[in-house]
Amino acid sequence: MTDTWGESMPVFVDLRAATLRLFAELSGIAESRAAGEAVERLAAGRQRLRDERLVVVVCGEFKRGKSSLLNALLEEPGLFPVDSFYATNMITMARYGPKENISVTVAGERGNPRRIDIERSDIAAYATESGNPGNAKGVQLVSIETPNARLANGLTFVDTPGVGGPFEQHSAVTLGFLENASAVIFVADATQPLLESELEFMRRAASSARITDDAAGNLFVLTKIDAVDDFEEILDNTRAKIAEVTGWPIDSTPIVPVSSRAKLDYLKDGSAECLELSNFPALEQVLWAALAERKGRALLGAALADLDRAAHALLIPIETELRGLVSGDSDLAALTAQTQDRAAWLTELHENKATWRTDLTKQLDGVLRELQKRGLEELEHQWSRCETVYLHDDRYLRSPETLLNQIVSDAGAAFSAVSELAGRHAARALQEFSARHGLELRAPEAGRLPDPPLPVTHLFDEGSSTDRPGLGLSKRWKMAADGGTSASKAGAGVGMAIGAIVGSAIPVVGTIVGLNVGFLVGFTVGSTVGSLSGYWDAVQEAERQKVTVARDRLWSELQELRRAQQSSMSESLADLVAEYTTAAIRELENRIAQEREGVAEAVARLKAVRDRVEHAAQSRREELVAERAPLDRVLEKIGTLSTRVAALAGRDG
Amino acid sequence: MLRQRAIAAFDRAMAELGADPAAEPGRALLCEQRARLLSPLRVAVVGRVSSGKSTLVNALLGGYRVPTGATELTYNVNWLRYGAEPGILIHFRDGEPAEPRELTDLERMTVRAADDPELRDFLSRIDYIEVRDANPQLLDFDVIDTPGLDSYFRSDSANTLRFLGRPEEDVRAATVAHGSQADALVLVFARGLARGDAELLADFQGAGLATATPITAVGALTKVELYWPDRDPMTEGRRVAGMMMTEAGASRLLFELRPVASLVGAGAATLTEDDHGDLAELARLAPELLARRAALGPLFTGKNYDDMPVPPTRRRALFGKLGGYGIVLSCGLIRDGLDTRAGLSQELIARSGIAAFKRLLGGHFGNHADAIKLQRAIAALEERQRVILPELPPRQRLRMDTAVAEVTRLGFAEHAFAELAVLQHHYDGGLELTAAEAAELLRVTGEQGTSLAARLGLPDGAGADVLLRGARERLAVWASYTADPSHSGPTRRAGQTIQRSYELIIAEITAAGPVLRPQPGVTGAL
Repeated sequence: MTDTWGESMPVFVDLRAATLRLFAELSGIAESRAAGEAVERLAAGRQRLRDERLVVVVCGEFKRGKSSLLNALLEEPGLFPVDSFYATNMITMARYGPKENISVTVAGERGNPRRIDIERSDIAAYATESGNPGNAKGVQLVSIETPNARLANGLTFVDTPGVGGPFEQHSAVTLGFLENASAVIFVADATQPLLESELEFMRRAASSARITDDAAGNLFVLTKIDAVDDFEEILDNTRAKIAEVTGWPIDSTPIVPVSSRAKLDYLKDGSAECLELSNFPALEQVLWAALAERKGRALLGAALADLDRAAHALLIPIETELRGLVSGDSDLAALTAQTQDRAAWLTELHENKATWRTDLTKQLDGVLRELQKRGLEELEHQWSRCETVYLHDDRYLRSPETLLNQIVSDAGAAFSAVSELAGRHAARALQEFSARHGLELRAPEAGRLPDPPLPVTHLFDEGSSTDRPGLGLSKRWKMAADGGTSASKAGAGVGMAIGAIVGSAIPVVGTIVGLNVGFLVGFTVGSTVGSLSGYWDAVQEAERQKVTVARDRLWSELQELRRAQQSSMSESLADLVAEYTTAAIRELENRIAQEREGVAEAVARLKAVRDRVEHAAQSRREELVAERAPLDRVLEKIGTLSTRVAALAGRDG
Repeated sequence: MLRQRAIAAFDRAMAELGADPAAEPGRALLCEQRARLLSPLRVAVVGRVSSGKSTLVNALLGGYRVPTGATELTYNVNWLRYGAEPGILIHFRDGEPAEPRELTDLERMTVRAADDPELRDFLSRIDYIEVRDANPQLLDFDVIDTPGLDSYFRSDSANTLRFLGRPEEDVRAATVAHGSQADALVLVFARGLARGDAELLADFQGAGLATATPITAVGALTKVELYWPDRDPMTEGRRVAGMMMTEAGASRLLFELRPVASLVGAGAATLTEDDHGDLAELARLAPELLARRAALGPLFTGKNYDDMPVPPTRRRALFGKLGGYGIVLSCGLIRDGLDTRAGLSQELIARSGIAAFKRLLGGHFGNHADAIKLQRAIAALEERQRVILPELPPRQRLRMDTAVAEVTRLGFAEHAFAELAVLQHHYDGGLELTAAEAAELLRVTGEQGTSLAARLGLPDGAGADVLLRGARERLAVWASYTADPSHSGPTRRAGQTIQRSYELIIAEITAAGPVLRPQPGVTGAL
């Protein structure tokens, strides 16, 4: 597996493999000690690390060469269909599967998605404008699972709808994606400078990254360098524009000129000059660096923290017994008392959940209030842009869809960024809480690691990925997913369906975010177009009406949407934090169980020490030192790995 | 003829105003609009930034006339018109007198001045640059090259819109229709950005540019060379253009959308004997090898190969002029026996679609030029009169009204406008005509030429009796068409207009008598 990406195969993948090996090693120890809780938690942590996908989202205007780029990256010519006419507004996704399995999702009755399995040769018939004019087939998603070695390691590529129209509803979906992406590739090409509409998209992507402070993981690609004789001028031109619109320092937002054609030529005949011109080795290196930076640290950090906790839980009984062996009778009695106290306290925690639950809930309520405040501020920021910019722009005043799509898309971006923030804040709150209650056995080895994402995975343990969104979500979500809410009717259904599909393609937090975006898109379009139609009729009627009057009228018509967004923001965040609270309680219960297991073992061992006669103590000490040796080795490895993972930090470290 | 009747109306209007000094604003207005009626049709080339507008202009004019480049290059509007003495004249926004310059200054005046603040200030004062050129193509049309829309440099979009008469900041586009300086448009769509282009179409429709109708606008699908080597550029270009006309609804805005390989067309026009010699050498390579190398631009233009003739610097020059596709196409033609520079150049121009595009412009705009210009003149008079009137003394106001009415009533009286209205209705899809009937509508209204024979679909030089017989035959067909009660309102009125067109043709044949001369063709009509 490692050599499929050649030289560019990063430290990250090595680290991941080493971490997975540690899981196996430690599980072996836990099993030999019959530590059931530890074994279970290790298995869950290992599974999480294995299942976690690295999602690379590719975005750019149509005909910039996105599909060819993906084909060249995956070294599979013709996998993503290439068409001269514009491709329809759908999402195409490729990920690993042991055998090829391709499906399209189309909008079915009442907007509920329906999946159709197809062959690879049929992709173009669904996914290109030539094969499926005007997307008459209603395709929303093309999902490709294929045994491509480059997709192993959980890599998933997502080809998003074009972004050229900053006014399109689907750029909301695209923007919603970006927060969950492990890396984002923005595509420009050497035959045409970046247009204002494309830059506008980048501006907004950058502005939603500002909310979560996530400039890392973005990279830019200049395709089609084969079509020109010299691409330096356009490269400089593109670089300067990107630096200006995103405000990201240019040396930390790499832009890689590539030729997909040259790469595909190289695959045909192995010509060295083609590989060199293609510049794909450089792109792959930059891509993996971006993945490692944005995702690698958090992902591996969380896994290492799991390992660290389990190793210490297993170590405690041995250390306690060792200390018991070397101490005098009075010390031994004190140690026994101390350990028994701890055991009693843990039992208390276990049996008396209500107290700490209230405390935790209170703490997360604080997080919620903070998030709601932040979310409303972000929405307000968007609405003030609406008032000060959009309502002074001719294009928006003229066209209802344009303005609505813009507003929805802005709100979607704010929404998904705040959702992402919610996950992080909740995780941080949980960490503080654990430390305060002494549940954190030890601080993570490398303090510089970011807050691990809150493992919400087990909320969705049951069921297949397609019906995940329905589980564990509040009634309101489900109603909307069924297209059953009366307020937004079919609009919510379709938007929701896209959100659900899009979301489930990505890790679990993404499902929720996808739903948020989908819900918002559907909700606003479904419920507001009707109420605004009066305005537009009036505009057509009174052709020469004063602009300011029109503007004021439009602004007041939009207030309903604004209020709806505000309450939707507050309520959805409340739902989201409630999900996190449930997950956090579950997590703490598991940790308590794991530690109880360790302490109980320690108590038993201390009793054995007391019963043991002096001459046996020496040989027992030797046994114990031998028993803790593998755990010490594991801990040392965890330490080394943590340092290396922390070193994955690049720009923000 | 329409033009003579229009000039006569202007003359009557001038007479009505008399020599009273108070009538000066009115006289100036009438003079300006009369002169415009007599000057060539103004065709503006409009599209998104870097969509190949300047290259298309160069191809249409047969050589390097306006600067082109890889990035957003054109900063100001370039207005190319015929002039025996080549030179440029800079018109300012602030009303300063126009400033003549040497033709060699054009590049400096056009290209964005990134590093020179002084020049930048100067450029930002420019309204447009008039480029005079002795190119015979410009006898038929003025060609106006614009910077482009959707530009990162917002001033580009602003310059383009201002020129089209759309105020930069004003939300209402009411003045768009009448203030516009162009009579007709060539909308340019780069093959690279089809979906953005669909939005551009919508943008044009939304902006209410009166010039963007199938009567006054044709489309060019540019940069089709980039379909190569995966597909044949012109074949794929035709397919994509067809889809854009139907799927993207371009047919409501454009008379026709044609693919053009403008880089090949422009390059072919400036092909030198040296270029031809280099191409002949390259033609000796194995075709597959040449195609493979030419498809990877940076290698083709920068690398020394033992098995390749022509040094990289020369290859780079060829690549800049013709592009990879143009080189491979040229070499193929040379292998097929085209061994002279002139022959190759001519064939490339034909293959690039430029020759056909020129014919399209000549036919479509040429044949409706007078009606289009008069329509604009009428609109402009009505608009400007509203501004002038309140400033005039009462008696002059009445005379001004009467004078302007001399011209504006042509809008009701002239059958040409009824024809334009029917055409517009047809392009909007509002008529229920069969394909044959629609073709006849286009023909009789002058799409294939304005001579009587062309309008009747008869051979050039047909005698008066043949013409008369033909016209009467069609008249009878359309008379029964309009009598048929099954045709609905607008379609029936279209039939009546066509019927009236034949009646007028018959009247013209009868008036000319038996020694009818063939009417002047396309270009003569201007």
